[in-house]
Amino acid sequence: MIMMMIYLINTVKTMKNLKQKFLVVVFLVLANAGMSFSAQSQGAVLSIFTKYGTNKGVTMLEASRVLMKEYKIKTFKSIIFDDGTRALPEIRKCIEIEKDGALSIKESTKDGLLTSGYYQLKSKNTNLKRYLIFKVGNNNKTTFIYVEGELSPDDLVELLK
Amino acid sequence: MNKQRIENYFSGTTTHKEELEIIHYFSSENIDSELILYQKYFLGLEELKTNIARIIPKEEYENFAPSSKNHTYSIKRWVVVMAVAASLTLLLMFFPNINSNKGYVVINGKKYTDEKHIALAFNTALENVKLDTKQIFNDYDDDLFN
Repeated sequence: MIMMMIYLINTVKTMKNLKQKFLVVVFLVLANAGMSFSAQSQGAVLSIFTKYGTNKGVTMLEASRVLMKEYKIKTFKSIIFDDGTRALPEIRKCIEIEKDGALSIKESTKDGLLTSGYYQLKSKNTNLKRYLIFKVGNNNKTTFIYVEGELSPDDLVELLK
Repeated sequence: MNKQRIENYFSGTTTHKEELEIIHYFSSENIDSELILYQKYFLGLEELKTNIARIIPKEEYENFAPSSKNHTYSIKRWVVVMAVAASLTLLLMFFPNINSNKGYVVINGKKYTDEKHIALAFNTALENVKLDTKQIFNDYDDDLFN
């Protein structure tokens, strides 16, 4: 993407048609905005889903917006590992990255290792709340959930009761 | 469809016919679990092409459309292709769920889009991270003391 943008910038310099020039500049500006937006909403979390989502012993869900509407959720992604031993170090590392600047953190640990966590992540859009939920159960059964939407922390607690 | 062909696509070495086959493949229901992640990209690209064809006058659009006889790539065409790619990227960035209106669940590498599987996976995920009563009361205690 960045290479493409650099190439486009160089092209703009040599372009004579003002209309095309304008269009390319508009795309560059939007692409830049899009990249920062994307970096906020995906990043490390998405990498877990991408890397392990299609593995054996794993259930990955991306719930539909229709289903989520009643919960005021825009994005609901969950991944459940029957045995998360292999992925756990990476998930914990991802949480470490994402929880930086989090608005709310609730964690529990066992033998110095994170076993469950509820995080309200920082968000540039005040109407859009972002949450991470993580839990390791018996036999390392691991659940990792990313939620994005207008739901308040109380709404989330209601959902998790 | 194999992963090599997708890699060829991204390195720009596929023919127009192969690209059409790729689009056709991702429009179908039977997609290899390894390639599911590319589905959004190709379907989004196809949707964008349709939208652009509506906006740009037909004669002008046809000039940009790939021709099996003539493979000369003009700068003008290149700019349009780049614009389409940029738009597609933006589309996927701002609307990552564009093709997931139905939602899906992947279990052991197999994709399901029916409501039953999705609802079950949703409930299981929530059940696994359910707050216990003790924790909820601890939270209320926190609120009282803070």
